[in-house]
Amino acid sequence: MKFLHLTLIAVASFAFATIASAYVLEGPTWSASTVTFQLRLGNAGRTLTDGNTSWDVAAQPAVLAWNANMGSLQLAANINPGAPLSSGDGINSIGFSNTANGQSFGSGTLAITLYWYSGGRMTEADVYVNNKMSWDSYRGPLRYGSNTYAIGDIQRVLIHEVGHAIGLNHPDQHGQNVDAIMNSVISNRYTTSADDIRGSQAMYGVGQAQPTPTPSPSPTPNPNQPRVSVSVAPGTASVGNSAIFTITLASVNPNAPTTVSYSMSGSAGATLYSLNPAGQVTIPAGASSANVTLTVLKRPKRSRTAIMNLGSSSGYIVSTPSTATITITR
Amino acid sequence: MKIKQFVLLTALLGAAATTRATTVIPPTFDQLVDQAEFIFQGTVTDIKSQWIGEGAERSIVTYVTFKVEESVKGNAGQSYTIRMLGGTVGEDTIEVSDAPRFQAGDREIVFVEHNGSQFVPLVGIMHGRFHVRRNQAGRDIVTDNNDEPVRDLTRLGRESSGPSPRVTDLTSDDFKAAVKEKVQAAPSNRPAQ
Repeated sequence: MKFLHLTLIAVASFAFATIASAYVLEGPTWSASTVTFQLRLGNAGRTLTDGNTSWDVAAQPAVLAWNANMGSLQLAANINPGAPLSSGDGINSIGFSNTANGQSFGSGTLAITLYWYSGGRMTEADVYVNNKMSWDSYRGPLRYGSNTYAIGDIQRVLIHEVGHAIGLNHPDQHGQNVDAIMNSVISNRYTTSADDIRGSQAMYGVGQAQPTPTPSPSPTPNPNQPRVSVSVAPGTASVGNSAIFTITLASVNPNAPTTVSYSMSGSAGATLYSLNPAGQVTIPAGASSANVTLTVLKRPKRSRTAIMNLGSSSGYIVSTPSTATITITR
Repeated sequence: MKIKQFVLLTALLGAAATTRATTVIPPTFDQLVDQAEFIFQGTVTDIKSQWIGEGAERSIVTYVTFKVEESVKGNAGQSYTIRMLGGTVGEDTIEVSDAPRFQAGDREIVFVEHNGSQFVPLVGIMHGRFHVRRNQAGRDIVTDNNDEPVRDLTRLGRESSGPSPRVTDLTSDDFKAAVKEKVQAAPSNRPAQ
């Protein structure tokens, strides 16, 4: 009886130390409604514990993990092996590297996030994952290597790093004692906690949790539908200059035009450039491509990106690359 | 007996709550001392940020200068400046997750490595920085980057996060004495000069 009493005191003492308190915010937030991360982690070269063979595929859920509960911000993850991993280019990238923006990681650093902001608004975030550390992708309790060090789970580490990228800080380094993936000590927790979610909602409002969609039968591809892709040249442009997005048909349709819709994303505001034609472009019958001209109207304070994303349609199949990025330089 | 049961149970519960590994794996005390090129106690006297580099590696760095009050390993001179990635210049800010933040007047004990080439030139990044705080009894004690008092050096970088059996906070003198003892015990740790 006395031992039970002591047990309850001990449990209560510990529970008191771990309950309550709350998330900590870094301060700056994104004003954009969609922030896209370019994943350039590459292939694993082996089958990871969770069955994935691509680091990028394993990492995608980490970026999307924050979406279900946030209101005004949604994150997107594009697998883009050609994306640069550099800071200050306006492109949000996640990739392996042996340096942190040109400087060494130091022993024991798994990953860092570099985020840029101006006037309280986030403008770019890049995650550098140390390629000298041991990595895998697995759920559940932490696993340890023969050297007794934990094996880095790419997914939980990136949920944490993307948490930084949206504006969350370490609660445990600010006097808080709470269960969170944003704690500086990564634990057996491999998903966002209620506290992490409350932190994201403090910045971006409450979203409607998305029920797991019921997969609908995939339409049978029509082999006669044209496949379209996009490219851009040059890859950079400054004020007064232009770049050409080229939307290309894989096979020419001699009998009918193909109208392709597109949208723009990236860190460059819509007032920074003009597009001609805007919103959609028509590839004439018998032609293999059509162009959209982007003209830079203003000089940004620092480099920004404009990303063309091809829209879907029943009239064609979106092929890869389905996005093309231009950097608008100072 | 009752107290032993209580301490043991509380310790077990605490240990189960967290396990090792962070985005920066915390070093042990031995690793801190072994890997550091300079260890000193000092007061932050100046913080300046500026743009450096070109193209893809253009970034903001912050120079943190310390007035060195006591060199514990190596000779850091009378003042020592570390360069850290990140900072604010004008309207632009670059932040680095996990990087410690310093303020002028802070009294610190720092474990420096690879200054000028590592994004934060401290052993274990934020784990290579300890605050010196004056407690209510007027003694200088050491706290870690989370501002938790350091009580047991053998627990630094270890898996258990349960309460330390040691109940008193480590003074800065005790902390530095332990570092010096470790430096002198290992010939490889002795500085060349």
